[in-house]
Amino acid sequence: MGEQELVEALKDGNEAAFKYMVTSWQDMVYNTSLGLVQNEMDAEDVAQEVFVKAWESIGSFKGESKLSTWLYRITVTKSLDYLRSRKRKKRFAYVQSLFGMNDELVIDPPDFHHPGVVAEKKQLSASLFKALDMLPEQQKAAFVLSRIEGLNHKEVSEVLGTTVPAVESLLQRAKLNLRKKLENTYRKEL
Amino acid sequence: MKNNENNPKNGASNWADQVLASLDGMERVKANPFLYTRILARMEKKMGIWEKAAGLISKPAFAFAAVFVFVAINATVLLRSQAEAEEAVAKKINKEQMLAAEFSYSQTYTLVEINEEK
Repeated sequence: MGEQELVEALKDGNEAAFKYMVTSWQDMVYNTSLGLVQNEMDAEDVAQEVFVKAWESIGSFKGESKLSTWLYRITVTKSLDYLRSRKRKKRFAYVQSLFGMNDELVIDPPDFHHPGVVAEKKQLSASLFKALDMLPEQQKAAFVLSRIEGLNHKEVSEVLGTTVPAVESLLQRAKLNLRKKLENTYRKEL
Repeated sequence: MKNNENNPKNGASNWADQVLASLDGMERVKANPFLYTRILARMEKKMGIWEKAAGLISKPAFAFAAVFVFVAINATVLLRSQAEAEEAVAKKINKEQMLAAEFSYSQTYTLVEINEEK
């Protein structure tokens, strides 16, 4: 099925077309979301939301970009929204615990071990994901799309709605920041 | 996790390099094979909420209650504005009377006027 045909079928509310879209791009959406939210259950939740949103708003898809780029864009937006909401909840729970309104301890999540990482590098990558979680949103998104999804700079720029030089700058800053954070972690644990 | 290097600066830098390279050769993770079914269930649940909302709105009792609330709000606003208007008129009259009382003079005559009358 060609992309144009698929979009038309989706706009007509064709469920078979929707199933085709989900099965074709579910790994891409899930993997991107997993890199950003760093939790398998949350990533699946986000992936579900992404496809529901795509189904609901296919009418607004103008075909100016590829369908996969559009799905990537929804995935990044939903994942970042999810991270913001998680941070808000964590902050609220912390404030509650200060006033004794919440007896539950505010615990940091355990290290994230990405299932796609080679076994012998899992421990090292856990440190990388920890540092990645502290990056500004745009840098984090650019890094995940480039290093985890393997998109080239042009593709990343299309997903993030920016220019190629801007993506290059984002990636450079992301790497610098990650290096700084990692070196600090190393010194603290020395 | 750390290299047995004497210089902590080099050690940190080398370790950071290793960590940054830890994603090399990683594979794309596969989504849950039941993702599509779960999405459908989620959509049905979402539709269910809207259907319930639509069902509630379309009930005659809801329509009557909505009309009643609308009429009640309008009546309250109308009565309140009428009362306020009456109060404003009363205040205005009262003010005018006070002003008149303040500037009114008693019927006194000057000597010239008395002589003229005579």
